[in-house]
Amino acid sequence: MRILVIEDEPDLARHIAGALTRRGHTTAVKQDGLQGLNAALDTKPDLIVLDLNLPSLDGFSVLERLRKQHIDSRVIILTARGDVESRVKGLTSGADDYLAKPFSMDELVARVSVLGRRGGALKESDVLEVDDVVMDVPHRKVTRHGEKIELSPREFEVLQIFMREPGRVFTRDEICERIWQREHQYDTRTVEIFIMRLRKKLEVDGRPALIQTVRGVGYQMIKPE
Amino acid sequence: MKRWPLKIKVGVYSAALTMLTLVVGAVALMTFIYFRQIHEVDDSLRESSSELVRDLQNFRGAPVNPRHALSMKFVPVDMREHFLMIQGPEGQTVYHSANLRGLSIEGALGFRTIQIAGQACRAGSFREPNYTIHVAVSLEPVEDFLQDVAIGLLTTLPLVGLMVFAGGLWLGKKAVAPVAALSAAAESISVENLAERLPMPEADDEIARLTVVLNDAFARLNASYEAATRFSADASHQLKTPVAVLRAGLESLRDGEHLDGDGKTEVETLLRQVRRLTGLIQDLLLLARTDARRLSLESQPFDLADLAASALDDLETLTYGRLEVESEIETGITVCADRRHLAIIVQNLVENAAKYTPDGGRVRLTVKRDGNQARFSVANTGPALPEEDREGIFERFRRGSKVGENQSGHGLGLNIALALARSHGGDLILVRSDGQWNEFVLSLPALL
Repeated sequence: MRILVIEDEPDLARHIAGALTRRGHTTAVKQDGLQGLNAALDTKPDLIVLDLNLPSLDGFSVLERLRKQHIDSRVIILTARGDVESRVKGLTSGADDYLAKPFSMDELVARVSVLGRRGGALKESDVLEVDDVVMDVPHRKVTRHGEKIELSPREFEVLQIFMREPGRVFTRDEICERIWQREHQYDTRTVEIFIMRLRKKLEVDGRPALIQTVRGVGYQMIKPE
Repeated sequence: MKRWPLKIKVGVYSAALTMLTLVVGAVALMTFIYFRQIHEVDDSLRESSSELVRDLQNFRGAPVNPRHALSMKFVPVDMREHFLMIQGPEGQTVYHSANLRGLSIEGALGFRTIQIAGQACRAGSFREPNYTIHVAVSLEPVEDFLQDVAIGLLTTLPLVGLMVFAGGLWLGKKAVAPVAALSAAAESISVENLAERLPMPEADDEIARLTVVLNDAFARLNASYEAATRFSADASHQLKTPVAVLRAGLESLRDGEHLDGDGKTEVETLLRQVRRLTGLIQDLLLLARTDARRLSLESQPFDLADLAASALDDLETLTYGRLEVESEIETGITVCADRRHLAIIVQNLVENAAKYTPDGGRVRLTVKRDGNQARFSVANTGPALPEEDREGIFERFRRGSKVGENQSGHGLGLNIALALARSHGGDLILVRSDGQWNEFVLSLPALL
């Protein structure tokens, strides 16, 4: 994908561009709102990573003008304002996703690839399927090979994280952050216990183990071919 | 006395002052009356003695020989009750009244107060032609009169005191009324409406000046409160970008090819600190928003039992094999709240319970309805909180005095939990800390 990063903090912009380039995307960086807007109008990138707090023209205005000019690049907003209003404002003013600073680079990369894959707005589906595991999110039901599996609330949440992005490796810290949303003392050992219990419950005779440990990194759910 | 309400003080002070004034006045009055009466007695003594001598000289038309003893018939009737001594020209006693029983009342010319048979008397000695008269009269009538006055005053004193007290009470109440109104108005100004001001009274008096002073104080308080809140919000905000850079940089180091195993472990440690810093910034920002009443709530109705199930799940995992977890969760208690915020409150309570319960102890989660309140309780066994810690346990950056430095957490947990509970119209209180259980209860308005 051709990605434009509009972020005024040079070091952060450099790291974002670096991480995205490593995943095979083509990136350009602009460090102020007007330059960013002009670059977007000129090059019509597939995706824009847009900071809200920018010199010369703020992120919301950039987004507004882009949409007025019918540039339909997908947009991920980055912001230090973590409150509900700016998230709602960001999403209603035409952004496709929203990430609060400081974010995990893995998270950003993952969201970029989800937006690229779906080719549109991020929409969370209600029923998830990986191999023979089926998760009905609204009814909080999970079956494997047609057999019902009883999961505790947190086990369900952990499994949901894996099933939304099968194949992606999640670090223990990232899982922690996703489940409890904020930093606290639930340490990574807690996550290990949940994953251990989850694996046990997902065990069905003659079926492969789906949650794998990636040594030194974290865990992933594999999709057996 | 210092603790009495002002109106009582005014009543008591005015009553006491009035009674004191009355007593002083009475003493002065009685002294005055006493000297007046003595003066009158003196006049009558002088008059009586000159009358006596005049009578002696004119007795039956012929003067009596001043050197001869006199009998009682020479003494006028109205002087027969008096103590009387009459001396002749050479000082010889010519008459000695019987009631003196031989006692001499001889003295220098003029007046004096003497004791005769244990009775205060006023005596006078006068030189008349041929005679020297010593005459004395009992002061008993004067003393009786003064005693009557004193008794009269003493009996009316309590009545007067009572009346003045009642009057003072009324006056005090009346004088304090504007202050009471002012303090009620000032009381209604809290963090929520710090920008509001007290209404100015019409009269330009002390109350008006007090109102001005209070309004100034509120204005300064409001300004510094807003400055503090803004600072906190701005600071947290400004910190986020550099922390984002740190995190991105460390993650790229960790994922890159430049570092060996040890280096990566070190970077992992640094990343953990960055995440801790992130948590702290998020908490401060959250607090700044609740302080400024700018916390936006995405409230929706949900069953507290769901929240409790997740909390129970966390608790069992956090304390696995170390503590016993019990629960009593009533389902169907619905609250309308921001789920993420309630989750933060519950997480903080659960973390604390897991952290501070001694090994082998018990933790109990309870969800129940209490009238129109939903009550979410987290209780754990353990030593009672020291008395001095209980007040401050919800304060910012406060941790128990017995908590060692090696405990994790930054001392904002309970403060945030309380602030969030209040912004949902609820409360968080420590209801029990008796040495067996420490119990925190989150109460929220429940939906029917």
